[in-house]
Amino acid sequence: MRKRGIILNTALCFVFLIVVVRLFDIMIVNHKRLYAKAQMQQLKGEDIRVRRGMILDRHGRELALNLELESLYCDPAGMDSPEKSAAALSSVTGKPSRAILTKLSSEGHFVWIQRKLDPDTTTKVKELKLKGIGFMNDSKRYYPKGHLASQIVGFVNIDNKGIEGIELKYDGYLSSGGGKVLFSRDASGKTLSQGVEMESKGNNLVLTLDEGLQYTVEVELDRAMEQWRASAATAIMMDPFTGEILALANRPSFDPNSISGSKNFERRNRAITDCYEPGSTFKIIVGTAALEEKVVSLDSPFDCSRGTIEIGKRVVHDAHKHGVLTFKEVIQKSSNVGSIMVGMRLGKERIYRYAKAFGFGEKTGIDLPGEVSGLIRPPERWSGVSIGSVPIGQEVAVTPLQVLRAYSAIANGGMLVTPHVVSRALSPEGEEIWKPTFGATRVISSRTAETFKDILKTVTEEGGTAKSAAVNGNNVAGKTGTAQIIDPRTKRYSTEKFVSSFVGFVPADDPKIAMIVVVYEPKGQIYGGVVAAPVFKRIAENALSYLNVPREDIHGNMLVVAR
Amino acid sequence: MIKMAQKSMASCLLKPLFVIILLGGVFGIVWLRSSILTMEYTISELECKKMEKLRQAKMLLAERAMLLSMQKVEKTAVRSLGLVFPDRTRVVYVKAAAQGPLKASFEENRYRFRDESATAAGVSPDNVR
Repeated sequence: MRKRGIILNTALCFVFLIVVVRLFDIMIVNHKRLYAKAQMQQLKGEDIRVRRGMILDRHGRELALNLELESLYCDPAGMDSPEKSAAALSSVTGKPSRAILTKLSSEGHFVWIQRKLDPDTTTKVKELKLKGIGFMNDSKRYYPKGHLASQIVGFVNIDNKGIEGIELKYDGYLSSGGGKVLFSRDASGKTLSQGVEMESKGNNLVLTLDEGLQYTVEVELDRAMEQWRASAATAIMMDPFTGEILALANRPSFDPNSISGSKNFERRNRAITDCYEPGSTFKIIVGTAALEEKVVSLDSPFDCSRGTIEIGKRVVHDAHKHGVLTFKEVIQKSSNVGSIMVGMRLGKERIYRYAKAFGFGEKTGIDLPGEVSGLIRPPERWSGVSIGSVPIGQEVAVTPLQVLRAYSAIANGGMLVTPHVVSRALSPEGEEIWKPTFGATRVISSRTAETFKDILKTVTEEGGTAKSAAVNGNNVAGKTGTAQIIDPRTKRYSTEKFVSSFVGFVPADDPKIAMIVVVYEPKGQIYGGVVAAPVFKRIAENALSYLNVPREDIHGNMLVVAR
Repeated sequence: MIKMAQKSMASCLLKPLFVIILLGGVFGIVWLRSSILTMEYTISELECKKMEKLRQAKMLLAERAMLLSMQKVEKTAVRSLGLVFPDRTRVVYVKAAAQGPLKASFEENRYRFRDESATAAGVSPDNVR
């Protein structure tokens, strides 16, 4: 009995020793290797989902947001029958079967089949229950307003990186750093929560744009494009006191939801990337400079009776013969001859100095990518005929935004403001985290600005060049522009291609909006007063209604409400 | 004799107590670990549900934004409801700040903008809509 006990005890001790040795081997000798192996089996790395912030208009209406979709991938090594799977996927996704088969037959363990499937297609693919097929959460940028403000908002690439517009300029604000989180998982592959937030949200951006005004501008631009069979058109609406862009639109345009279907020229933000010769809208420079420098008074006479003026070998014409005009009438009737005479009194140095002071030849500093500075040559590089060209807006290249900014300085009493489209950035929780500040520079005295404002008001009155820009019930101050385009073949001014524009502000005495309308290559009519001014009028009337700006002749028509 | 009996009783009680505490401790740890695991599974499932709801919320937000676009609103207003954008000459401005039920009437020339009496009565371009 005692002998049996000894044998049993010895056997037990031996077995226990084996267990201890094995445990020593596992826990001490091979610990590192086995621990790493176990980690590989138990832990699963997952990317933190980076979600871009939203882009909102000034009233919080969404212009860009995210959709949570799923992307389809496959593990070619785990496929049963690539041919059958390709045919089934093709019938659901609409992609060519051969293209899918190429992906299913490729080497490796991970191949994208289609990124960002719409929810219906995702459900259909899941119902196929194909082996070797998987889904991964993916975010898709969505622009719910389609074409609206597309050249401002911009767009992103397949990996949600900003490519154009606000999406590019403020990419750092909109997106936030991602990272990876390791999850424990069980034998069946189920993951265990680590209590980590799996979504990293970017900041939201609030723009200065107003969707209502933007829509009005775009509708009227479409109408103008159709009416004048123009090659392109641009309109910008701005608060002349703050530089806030209320609306900015170009035609042609594009839908940022289907970038692949758009062309480069449709994506161009012409308001800041394209230069043109401004023509008569540039007469603001000689006009204000002459008043500021006291070279002329409002009633100074200019003999424009010949209707032409010779500068070197060049002869500049007026559209109509006017006779003797006062300085005020020179601007009102947009006389080229009179403006050149004013320019000659000023001299090229002063013209150049004021043009630079009004921001021509330099970027406005708008917070959008791709802005160009335009061109105005320094006086030493002027030719003999430049003094007959620059005062009437030739030999200079400007952007529509530069012209609007200069007119805003007249509207606000002489201050040059910085145009901008972003008003503030909000954290994902809605707290304001950043607000840009912009300064303003005085370019002319408030007295000169007021005087010139009065002159600009006459442009839309009887005898002016833009009666069709007059708005019912409110005074409009503005200026027409009709400029020839250089023909690239002949290198001379084309006799067929023009740029028609109107720039102004309303109500003239208490401006709420400053706006420019530029129509490129209109057919049938060429004059800014005929082509662009009516577009200005229609937009302005709708905008003033939208902004609840009362008519100035309202006195007798007010509804009195008693309580 | 009494001391020996007491010592033997204590020994008899301590041994099972020790075993019970040991087993209880082991089971306690196992139970605790298992509860944590179950909770982690539950949280994981709830997180999945939360993500799904967030996904749906984002889709709904996008749909709402699309449906409330000016283009859609105007299309519905013009085509379905027969509304038109008002002519500015027919837009009437009313006082917005006053309290109580409204009694509206046209009374021409009673108040005038930028008129001292009108400002005193609280009617100015800033408080009309």
